[in-house]
Amino acid sequence: MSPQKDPNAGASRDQARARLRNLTRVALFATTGATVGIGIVVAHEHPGKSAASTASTDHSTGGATGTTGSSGNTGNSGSSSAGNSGNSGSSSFSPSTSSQQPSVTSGGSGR
Amino acid sequence: MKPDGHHGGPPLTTRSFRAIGTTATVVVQDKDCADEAARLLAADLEQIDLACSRFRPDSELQTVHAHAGATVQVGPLLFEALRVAVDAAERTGGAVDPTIGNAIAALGYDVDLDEVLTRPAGPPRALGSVAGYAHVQLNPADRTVRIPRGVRLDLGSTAKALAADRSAARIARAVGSGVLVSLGGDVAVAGGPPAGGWAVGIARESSASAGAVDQVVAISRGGLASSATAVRAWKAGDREVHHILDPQTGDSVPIYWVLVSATGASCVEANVVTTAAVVWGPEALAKLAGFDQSVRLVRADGEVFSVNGWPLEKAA
Repeated sequence: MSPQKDPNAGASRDQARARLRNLTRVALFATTGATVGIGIVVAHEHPGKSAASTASTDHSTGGATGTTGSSGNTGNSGSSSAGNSGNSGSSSFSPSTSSQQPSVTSGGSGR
Repeated sequence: MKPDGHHGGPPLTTRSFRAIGTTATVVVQDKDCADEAARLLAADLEQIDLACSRFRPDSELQTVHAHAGATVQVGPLLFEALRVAVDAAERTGGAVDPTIGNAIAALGYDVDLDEVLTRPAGPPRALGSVAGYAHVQLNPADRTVRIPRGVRLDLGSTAKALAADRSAARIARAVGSGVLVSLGGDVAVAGGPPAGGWAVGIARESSASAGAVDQVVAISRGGLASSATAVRAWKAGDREVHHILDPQTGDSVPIYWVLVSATGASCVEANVVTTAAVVWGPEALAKLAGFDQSVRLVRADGEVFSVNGWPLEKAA
């Protein structure tokens, strides 16, 4: 039987998180008040629409409906104007969009 | 050497090689440091493999397995990897659990993946719920570990990310400039970033070329990781299984998300969230509310979700 704790039980999770950060020796920067207050912002992307028109809700269920389609290889390399539309819940380590050629790719690693 | 460009600064220099069952890459801003960076990374990966591999008979982890039920003193690196794994389990309520070693081996992933993919498929065998991380007893005072008799650990989910974090920090200190380390798409950066940050492509497979990625994002610190269910998969009998297990069932997680990417203060932190989100399935969006991390999730039907500030991508 796998022991289960409530994943939202703040104390143990926060402790574990602090230890993770210490172990990996990475500086921790203060969380923005907006993130704490909002908790989560889910932006539900509808393939085929522009980022500016992409729906964004302040609810965690991602319940907006949209056209299902392929997310794969849209050919876009991103641009600074496309980022964070409607996403006021950004974290301390949020990435930004980039128009640079990527040095590496992050995805599944089959081999 | 492969110079990268388009970031307005000096060209970046990349070195890649095979290690720990994946592709290891180091990117530096000073090309004169590339050889030394690659040497340091290779040395670090040999150390992490020797400490944490569940495939090498000479690994320190195998010594812990051989003495399951007894208290074993281990080296600093394995102890750190064990602590990271247990912390990850606590942080995710057990969604990412290191005691899945027997379960994943029973599904057929009991040797290096290259061998798993080339040998005849064995019968599927899910063992049911795993022992659980709470049974892994760690004592930092004397650096000892005790696991229950019969339990085997799989540190793969977090040890690779830990290796990326450790190596990036060590290489940056050694060469005196910014560095990016990627281990099969688990990315850690350290030191000063190049102008515009470190550009990382997001794709279902880390082997995707720069021109075939879904999105390009930039990070300046911390880490970025991705978990996918379509790769690192193999046949078990007549069904396809993959490497992300639900500790509750001891079986491959039903595919709801095909790709989850996240950033964090470290690669470990990012990796923990992406693996957990795959395990959580439809509940991931709600559970991610407790994590101050940006996440991008691609559902099996192709829809993309952005959480906590992951930048939206512009459709073609």
